[in-house]
Amino acid sequence: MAAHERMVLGTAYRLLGSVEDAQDAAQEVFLRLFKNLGAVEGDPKAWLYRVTVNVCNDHHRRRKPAYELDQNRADPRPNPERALTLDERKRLLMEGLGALPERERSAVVLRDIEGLSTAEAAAILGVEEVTVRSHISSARVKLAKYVRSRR
Amino acid sequence: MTCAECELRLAEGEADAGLEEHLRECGDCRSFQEDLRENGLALSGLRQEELPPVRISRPVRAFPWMSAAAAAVVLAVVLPGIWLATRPIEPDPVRAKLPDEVTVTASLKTEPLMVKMLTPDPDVVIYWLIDSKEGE
Repeated sequence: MAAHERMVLGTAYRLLGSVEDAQDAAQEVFLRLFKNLGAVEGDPKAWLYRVTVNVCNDHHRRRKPAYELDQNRADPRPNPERALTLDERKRLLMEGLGALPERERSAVVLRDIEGLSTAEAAAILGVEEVTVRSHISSARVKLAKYVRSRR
Repeated sequence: MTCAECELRLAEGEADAGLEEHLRECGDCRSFQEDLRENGLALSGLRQEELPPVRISRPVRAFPWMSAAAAAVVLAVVLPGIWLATRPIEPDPVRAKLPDEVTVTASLKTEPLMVKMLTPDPDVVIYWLIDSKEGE
C-alpha cells in the first residue's frame, strides 16, 4: 500500500504542481478505493492511475489557472542559448505542465514522467493510442517552447 | 518542410530523410531538438524526485457505527464472562443451630459466678461467667 500511496501522491503532485493539492487529491483517490474495494480486481495500479487523473483534472478545473502557455506572456528578453541547470529545467517543466490542456498534461505525465507505455496510458485515459501520441507530441512542443521562452 | 512541421516530427520521435535534411540546414531546429532531448531527461527524472514528507490519513470505513456496534456487542459478551470467572466466591453462611435442650448448673462458690449449660451435643458446652461488682 505504501508503494501505491507514493505512486498516487507523486502522480497527483506532477498533475497539480502543489503538494497540498496533491495530498487532498490522494486522500480522495484512496477514499474512492476503499469504497470500491470489491470492484477493483487484481493489481489496482491502472485503476489508481485512472482515478488519480480524474480527481486531479477535477481539482484543476475548480481552481483558477495561474498562467497559460501563451508565448505572448513570455519573458520579453529570453536567451535560448543560456544553459539551464537540471533543477531549473525541471522547475520550468513543472510550471509548463500546469498550463497544458488537461488531456495533454495527463498524457505527458503518464507517458514521459511515470514511464508508462502508450498503450497503458491510452487504456487509463480511455482514448486511442494514436490520440495519446498526438497529445504527447503537442505537449512536448509546447513545453519546449515554454522552457525556451523563460530562459 | 517548415520549422513547425519539423518540431512536431521531432516531438513525435520520428525521423526520415526530409527531417534530417531540414535539421542540417536549420540551426534553430537543431537547438529545439537538443531542448526536446534534455526535457525528456528532466521529465523522466521528475519521477525519481522525492516529494516533501506528506501524510495520507487512512479514510474511515463507510459505516463507522458498525465498528462501534460490534465493539459494544463484544464487550457485552466478554465482560460478564470475565466478571463471573474472577469474582470472589463467598462461602455459604453457617447457621448456628440452637440446642433443643439445655441443662444449666451454677456454682455460687466461685468468683466470678460461672453458669455451665450442657446441651444434648456432648461437644457443645456453654459457660456463662458473671462477674459481680460491689453494690450491684
